[in-house]
Amino acid sequence: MKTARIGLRGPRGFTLVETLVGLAAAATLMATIVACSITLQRSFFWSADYAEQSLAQLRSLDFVTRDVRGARGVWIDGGGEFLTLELPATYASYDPQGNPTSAPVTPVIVRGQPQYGDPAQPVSIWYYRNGDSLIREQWMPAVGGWSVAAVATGIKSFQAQLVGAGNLVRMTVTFLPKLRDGQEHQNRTAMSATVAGRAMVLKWDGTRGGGGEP
Amino acid sequence: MSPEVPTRRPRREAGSILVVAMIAMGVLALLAAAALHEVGNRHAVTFHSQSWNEALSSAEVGADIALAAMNASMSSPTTAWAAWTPANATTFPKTWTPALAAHGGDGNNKVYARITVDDVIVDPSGQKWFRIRSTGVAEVAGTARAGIEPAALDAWGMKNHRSVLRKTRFTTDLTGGALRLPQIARTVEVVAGAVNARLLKRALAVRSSITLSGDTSIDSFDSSDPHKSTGGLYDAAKRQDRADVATDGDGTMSHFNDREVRGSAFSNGGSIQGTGGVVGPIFDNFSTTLPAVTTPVWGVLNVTPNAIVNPPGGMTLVGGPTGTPQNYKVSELTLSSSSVLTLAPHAPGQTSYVNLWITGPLDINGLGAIQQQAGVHLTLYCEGNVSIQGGGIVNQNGRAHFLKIFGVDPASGTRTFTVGGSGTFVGVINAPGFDLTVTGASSFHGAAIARSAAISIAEGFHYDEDLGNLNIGPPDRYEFASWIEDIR
Repeated sequence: MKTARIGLRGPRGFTLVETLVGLAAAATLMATIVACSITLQRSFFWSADYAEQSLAQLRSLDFVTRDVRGARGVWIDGGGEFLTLELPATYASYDPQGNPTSAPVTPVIVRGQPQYGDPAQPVSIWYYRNGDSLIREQWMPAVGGWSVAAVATGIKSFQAQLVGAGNLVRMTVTFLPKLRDGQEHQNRTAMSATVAGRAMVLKWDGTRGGGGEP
Repeated sequence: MSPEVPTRRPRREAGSILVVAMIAMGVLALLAAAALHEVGNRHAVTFHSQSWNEALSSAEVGADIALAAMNASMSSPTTAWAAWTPANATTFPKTWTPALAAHGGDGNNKVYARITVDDVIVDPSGQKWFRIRSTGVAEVAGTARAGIEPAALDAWGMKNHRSVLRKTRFTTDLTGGALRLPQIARTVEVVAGAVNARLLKRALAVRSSITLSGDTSIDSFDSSDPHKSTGGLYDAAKRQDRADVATDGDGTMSHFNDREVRGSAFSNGGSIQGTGGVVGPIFDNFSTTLPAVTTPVWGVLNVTPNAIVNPPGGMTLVGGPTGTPQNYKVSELTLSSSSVLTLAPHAPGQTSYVNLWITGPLDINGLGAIQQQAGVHLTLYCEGNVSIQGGGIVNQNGRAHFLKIFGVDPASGTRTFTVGGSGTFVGVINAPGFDLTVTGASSFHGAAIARSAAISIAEGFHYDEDLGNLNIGPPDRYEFASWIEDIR
């Protein structure tokens, strides 16, 4: 009689050495997986944070550029932390968020210059940092409207200065990363740009990404 | 025969491998999908920002195209608008959508512009200004994805669709199919005015020569700036150094006799003589064109009076409101003895406009005078010689831009323009075909353009810097005067 012996070794189990080696290998593998997962996750969030900050930079620049180009007056106060713009009252009505809800008014020519709306009641716009937000505040006296919006969050500083002949505005916004490793200064995202009024000139004039204080 | 004992592999082992593999693949797929979703959203916003800026460039190109057409219309009015609808010279508004520019390469989006030009803006002198509205549209690369860009939140955490800075169009095509969706549109509104509307950038500009003598002193003030004037009037304590004097002729023909000029001096070659009193730089490489003054073209004209010659008991002409000035044409204007021509506003205290075209001489002497009441803007077009003596025009507004005197270029020869006596002249003179003489114990507040100038004046020639913004001439080309973006 022939007896099949297949499977007889199975029930014998593992030796202690095999078990320990297996556990060690498994632990190493799991540790590697966990470490990789954490690293990948951190990297992913860092990348996402950086991308969001870059987009916030673009948005901040687009907002300020749009307003500066249309401004008829620019003032900088508070050591450069407050940028005040005065724009013509181009619209007759605005919604509660400060967005125009009517077509631009037809300008009149006063002493050789087109004049929109009541020159005594211009639209005033302020940019400044409040906490970690870049705030855009708008006052529309002609319609009694006032709005405040956070253009970007996670910012460290906001600085503006007049350059050139005084008709150029250079602004710098510095962002803080959401994940910090104790070396904040190395991981700060800085943006600087110079924008002009009606000269329709826009140029980058600084560094982006890891630049530290400009 | 030995009985075979069947061996069995546990089914569970084979099945669990497949399940584990499927679960693992599913987890990995979810991770990959999440990563792609995050990346895709951020990628989309980057495209939005790129297209946002391309749309503005396209809109500004549209404005430039319109400006080119307007400038071309100066010399070729019948063909300048050939590509526009309508294509004639006079019907506005006009629209044009230029052909899409050739494009190619990775990340290069198609752009589109739609331009509208109208002429509904009319300045107080009746001159039309062009308003250009140009909408630039740029395709957004990728799919119709909103991205992660949030609307700007207000202080209370509220937002609406208008608060989004870059308003991407996912369903509404502005281009009639020329561009695909999604797309971003931006609109700019530009107002363009006549370039030579601002000729008075200097205190005195002539075609040939300038002679300063006597106690003449030339300085400046700014009637629009309280730091440089008092109540809009000249104040010696606030006088400025921007009273530039220029000749388009050879400098050797001009002599300043070391009289004080608080500004710069310019000549078109050759050195101006006697410049010891010039406080600013002196240049000999100046060149300019002082455009000829032509007779006005008016659609509406008052039929009377035909001439004004010492009207017994005086005469009053009434102005019209902004946009509808009152136009008068006379063969002669002579006021002597105590004859007075009063120019009154159409309503008390209102801004009013009077245009007076004198085809013959203008002569004011003795106690004769033009009384220009407050609020009245007076524009004189003079074809003959001009002589204004003894404060002959009383500009009660006190500001030079209220009184404009144009000397129409003669067909041949020259004309004379004399301001003399002891009164004060407050106004501007644009008479590039006239030989100007300012003399007497008087003062001159304003600016002047002439063929030549001889100034000998006791109380000073005071240039009003605010006149640099004044529109006084016929257009020969256009420039942008304002720029706004329609941010609706």
